[in-house]
Amino acid sequence: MSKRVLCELCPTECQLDNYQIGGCRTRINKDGVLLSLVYGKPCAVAVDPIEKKPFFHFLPATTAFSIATAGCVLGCKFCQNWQISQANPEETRNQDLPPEDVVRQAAYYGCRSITYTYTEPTVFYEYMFDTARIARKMNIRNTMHSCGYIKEKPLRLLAKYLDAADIDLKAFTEDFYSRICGGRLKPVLDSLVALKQEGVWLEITNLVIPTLNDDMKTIREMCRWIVKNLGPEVPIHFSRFFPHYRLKDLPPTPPETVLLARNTALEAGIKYAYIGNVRGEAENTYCPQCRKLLIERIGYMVNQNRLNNGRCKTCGTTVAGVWQ
Amino acid sequence: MKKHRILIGLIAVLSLGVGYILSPEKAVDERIFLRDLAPEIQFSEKKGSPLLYSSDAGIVAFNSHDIAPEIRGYAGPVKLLVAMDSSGRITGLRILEHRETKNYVQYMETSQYLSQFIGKSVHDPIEVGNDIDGISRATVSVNALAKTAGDASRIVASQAFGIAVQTKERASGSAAWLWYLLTFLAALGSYFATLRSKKLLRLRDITMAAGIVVIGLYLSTPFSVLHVFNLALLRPSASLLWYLIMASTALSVVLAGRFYCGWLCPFGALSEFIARLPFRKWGMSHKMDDRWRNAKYIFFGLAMLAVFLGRRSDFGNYETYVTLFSFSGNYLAWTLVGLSLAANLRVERFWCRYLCPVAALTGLLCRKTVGYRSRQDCPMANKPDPLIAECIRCNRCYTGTGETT
Amino acid sequence: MTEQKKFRLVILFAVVLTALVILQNVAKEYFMADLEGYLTRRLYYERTISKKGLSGQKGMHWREQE
Repeated sequence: MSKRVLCELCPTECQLDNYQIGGCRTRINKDGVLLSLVYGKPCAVAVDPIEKKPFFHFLPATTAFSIATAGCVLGCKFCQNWQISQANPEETRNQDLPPEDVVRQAAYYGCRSITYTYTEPTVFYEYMFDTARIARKMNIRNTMHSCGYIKEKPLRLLAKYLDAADIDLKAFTEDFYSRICGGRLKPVLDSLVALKQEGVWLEITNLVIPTLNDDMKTIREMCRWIVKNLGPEVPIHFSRFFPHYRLKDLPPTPPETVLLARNTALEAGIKYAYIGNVRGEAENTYCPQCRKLLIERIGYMVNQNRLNNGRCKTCGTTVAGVWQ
Repeated sequence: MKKHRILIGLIAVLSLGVGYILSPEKAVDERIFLRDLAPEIQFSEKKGSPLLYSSDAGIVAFNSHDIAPEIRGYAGPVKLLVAMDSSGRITGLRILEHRETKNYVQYMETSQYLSQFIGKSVHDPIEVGNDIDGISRATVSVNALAKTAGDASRIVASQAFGIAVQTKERASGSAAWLWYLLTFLAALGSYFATLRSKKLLRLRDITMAAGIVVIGLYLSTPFSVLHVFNLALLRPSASLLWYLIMASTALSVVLAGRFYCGWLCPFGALSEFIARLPFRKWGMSHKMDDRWRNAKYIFFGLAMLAVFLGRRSDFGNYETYVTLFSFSGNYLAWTLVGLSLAANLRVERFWCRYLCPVAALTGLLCRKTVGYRSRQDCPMANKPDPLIAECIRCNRCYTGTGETT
Repeated sequence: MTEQKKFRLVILFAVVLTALVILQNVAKEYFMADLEGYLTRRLYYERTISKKGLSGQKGMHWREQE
């Protein structure tokens, strides 16, 4: 019955028997050949503000052409997009949008960047890779919002065409990853380091879930690891959890917890810590030196941007990010 | 007949030997897990049916694959080593072997996850989503794990400890052995009574009916070659009923040859009752009849070969009475049951004459007796002066001259 | 058809059935499960996936296949 195929894309490393589909739901072994079922078949296409990704230090107040296909390499119980991430590509309503058309449409809508997001871009790696190469030629930036659960070789290859990545660091314990997400923490940390080394602009999102990962000691540990391994200039977004999918029995995260996490991060030496899914001043960017307001945001909207060539107008301190 | 005996005996010894040498049971590996599972307990060798490690502390341990090998996960069985106390409570559980995708089941393999099985009783559901947590992306594997743990534990609890659990297992109440013993003694008594007086021949109809009702329908434990296969694989059962069936059948073979077939076997009885319906039987030459009667020895030998080489007694599960009275079998097995019953309308005791492995076994083992000459109404349609291996001792034709030689 | 012939048919059928039952007992353990899994997957692919117009882009590899 033909030979097995090893998928080397994500750390799950599925050994696929003939006609078996991987855990990501999108890759199949057909007679010994590994095929992607979702190449050029996005199930979600939209033009979003880049702040929604969330990227706060990357071309603020621009739009990102966002695409996603069905499937995910993880299976987080709290997934906000589980209707498509935990669906098979044959179940979702898909568009026909080859890489050239993605870039063409992005240009048509005046987007400065294309974001591979919503579900998990790793599962449509080939589609993302080809689109990114074309976009690079057309001077459109490439960003992804990923869980970082990808093996090093494909990640480094992709990084050549990637301008920014927002990685979901879902928690800082192996236990959380194995129990809640069906994955492991270590490969995600490795991915973060690899992206940093490849010079990709990095932001990190951490969804704070009551009782599961809201322990401030662990958050402090996580922030210290970030400062040590990725530097203090990596922005962190602490996001508020709302009950979804298989975690409907938990309450939404109290806004104070999210704020507390942000403060913990700042204390640990992180320069730019934000909150997500909660309105407040902690959505704004302040100068790490003189504490003056630099970018004022309300949700995904940028109210004012007082950065001058990536520097604070008042004290001239450079603020890390991609501003042009 | 002598040739048959030698050949079958040879197959038995050789396949048993080869099977033992090739034995895939890694008893040594299990030992290591066993020490890990319950370090303070000294377990015996693995033996019995169900296959168990037992201990003085009353705790037993078993490899789930020996008990419930049919449950499969994503890529094969999930083999567990389970320790259980005599009240049917799981006291320890380890995964011995599986072929699931490694990176999905990492959490499933942690002692933290497996610890939720500890303390579960065979009366608990032991079911994912009920009292066992599911794991993201490992649903199929976890379901298989929980089902394996639950089913195997229930089988062991009911068979080794006699705990009544809700499974499809037979109704082996505490009085089961008594019912069997009474039925057996009544039948044996009737047998000896009919040796003396032809007037009592009708007694056999009663014991056959009792065989159907008690052994077939109530106890669901007709004598089967699986019993013998398990014994040969050194996996005797722990239940009293099992020993009683083995001992009584052995005794009856010594005393009265294929007495079990004629007086107790529920399938034989059913076949004979069907054959009594007023349909004319097909005529055939003795030569052809004799030739096909050999088929049962061939199948018995083949089944034995498969069982002893694979060391899996369920490989030899093709007996129609097992299918019928345990009410479990695939469509092939059920077709065989249907065909074997329907054929009795035209061919007396169709299954018994041509295919039954118990007939083969008891036939091979029975001693020579004179006085059975066969006659027109022989329920086995035996030719005049038949082989004693083909006689089921209904005593109709018994002449009473010379008991044994 | 003579009665002998009818009998021969019935007994042949029964013998084949019995042989199949034993064969299946053994086959079930050694390769039927694999075959069954393959057929299930293949059927699902042919009946459901292949009709949805999904792509069949070749997946990338980063080292030699095993």
